[in-house]
Amino acid sequence: MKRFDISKIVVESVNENIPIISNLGPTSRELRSIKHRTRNLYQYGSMGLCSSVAFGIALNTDTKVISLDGDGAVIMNMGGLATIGRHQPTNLIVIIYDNEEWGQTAHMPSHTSAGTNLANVSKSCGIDKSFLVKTIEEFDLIFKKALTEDGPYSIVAKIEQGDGPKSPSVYEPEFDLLSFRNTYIQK
Amino acid sequence: MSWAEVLIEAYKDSKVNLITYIPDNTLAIPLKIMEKDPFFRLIPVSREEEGIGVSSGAYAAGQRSGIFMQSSGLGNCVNALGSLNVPARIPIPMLINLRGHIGETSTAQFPMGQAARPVLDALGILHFELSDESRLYEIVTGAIKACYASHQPVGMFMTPLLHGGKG
Repeated sequence: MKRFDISKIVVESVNENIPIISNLGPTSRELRSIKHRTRNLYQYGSMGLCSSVAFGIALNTDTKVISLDGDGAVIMNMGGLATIGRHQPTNLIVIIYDNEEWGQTAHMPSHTSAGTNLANVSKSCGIDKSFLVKTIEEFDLIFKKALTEDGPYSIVAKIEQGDGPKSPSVYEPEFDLLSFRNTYIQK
Repeated sequence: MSWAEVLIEAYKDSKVNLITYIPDNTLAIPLKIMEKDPFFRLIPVSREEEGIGVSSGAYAAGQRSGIFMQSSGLGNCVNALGSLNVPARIPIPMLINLRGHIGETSTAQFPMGQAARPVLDALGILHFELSDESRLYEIVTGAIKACYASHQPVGMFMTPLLHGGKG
């Protein structure tokens, strides 16, 4: 399965209110091309912090919050999973795209290619609802559950290598942040 | 009032209520008081850089969030500040206990202690020193005001001249 197809399911399954935080690079550019929403918060740098940013948002809202993270990034900040496990934000859904490589930087194999199982890591960090999915159908089933039941959830999706349709490489972190934040302070 | 109580009052009056942290013996003094105060929500993290991410997310959702850490931890935050907070203009008041100061006994604490302020200078991040208890409230509330008005992180370095301890 492809990351693009899963992100499409995510976007089509939630209303405009639900924040989606996306890892830097192709994950963000694909999300932007699927649907550019005010409550998308794209990461441009700060590799590893996507789910930490999402956790910070989850602490301050009652809605579900979705993080679209990646294997290389999560390995860079594995302690972030322990923090989520410690604080148990019931509204946080972490989706980890696992293509077993540093896809954006020379496609060299990541740790998950050698056996690191991020669903097991999530579970050991106290995120009881941690799953490894290998098909779109499996993902769809668990994600729909995650949207209606209390989390936190960690869904590791084994994906094919390579990118789907991407938006142009725009860089406007300040604008994104302000428009995202304005939806919270103007309510 | 103790320095820790003055500090807490300054944070309350500045409406900064969500604090991410990695503790040390000095930071633990205000943190232990704040734990019992329903105004504050304390979030221990695994690494200071992660705290920058969590505090940034809280700000994105409309809240004011600060971080407590040591100067050594600031070293762990550099790329997050440079690639997230500065370009996206995400303000975070950073309370940093400065190691490598008078009375320091740990050799390992000196280099990062000396580098802490130049690192923030290099990123264009304002910083202030908290050494004088009589001006603590004024500097902390003023620094937090500057933080949110400039839409940038701000560093506040506590020294042993304020609290008499080290880490």
